[in-house]
Amino acid sequence: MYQEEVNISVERMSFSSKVSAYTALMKLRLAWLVVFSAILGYMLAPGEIVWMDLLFLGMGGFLVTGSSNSFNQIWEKDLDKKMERTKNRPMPQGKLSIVEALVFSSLIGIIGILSLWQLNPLSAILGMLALASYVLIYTPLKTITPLSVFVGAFPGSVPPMLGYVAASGGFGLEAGILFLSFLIFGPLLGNYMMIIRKEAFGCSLP
Amino acid sequence: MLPSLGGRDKKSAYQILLYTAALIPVGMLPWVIDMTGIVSAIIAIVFGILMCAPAFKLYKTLDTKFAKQLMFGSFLYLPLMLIVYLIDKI
Repeated sequence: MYQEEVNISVERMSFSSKVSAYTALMKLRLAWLVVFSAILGYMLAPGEIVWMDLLFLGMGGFLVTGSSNSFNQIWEKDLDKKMERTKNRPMPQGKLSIVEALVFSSLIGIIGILSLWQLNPLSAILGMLALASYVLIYTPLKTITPLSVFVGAFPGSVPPMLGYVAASGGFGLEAGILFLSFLIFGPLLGNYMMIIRKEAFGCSLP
Repeated sequence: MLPSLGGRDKKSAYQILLYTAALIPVGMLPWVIDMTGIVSAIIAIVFGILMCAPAFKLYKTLDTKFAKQLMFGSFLYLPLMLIVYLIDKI
């Protein structure tokens, strides 16, 4: 009886700690910021608001961002161990195995893209481009060159444009301007961090 | 233009000043293309100036505190500006 209770509490603990490891992997704060910008981008477009669209857009934006962040942390598992700021992330802490994290990231990435597909194909393509450029170009590039800031600015600037495209079904001047106003922050943030952190530039960005 | 490799130097601070100043015209673009009204353009100028002040001080002093202020300011600028555009949408 006693033994049973102990087992249950251990199971619960490990379940909740797994959940918190997965949410840490997704970087929720960043994901919510993306949802917010995408929904505002959607609302800026002319036409009526379809609530189902907002749901798919929010879910898609959230999951695609979560997937990008997760893949990034799998990739940088060893690098994150070495830095004070990142050493408590779930991957360097060994809270999740690489297989668990890979399955999770792929799954939420696919569900996110499918969710965007419900809006229109262009939105799904934008989501895929953002995910791919973040994981396959920005992440490996950032340890090599500060030019990576410009690559990283692309996925970072997609959300409001994605929202606009989700509503309007096409690219236009408006979507482009929303993109540009976010894009300008890429090099800005890169330079702030250069000044704030003494660490080598290559591994200083999140 | 590349972010400089030197770390805490004038070159990074100069780039920050340049890009921050560029926020003003870029923030006004939605008004230029008739997506939003004049109020959004005026607020873009005000927000832009508010960002330029610490950018200028950073350039002068290279004090990390201004870079932190700017970082915080950036995280406010983007969502606030989007809300302004939405409220002033034509």
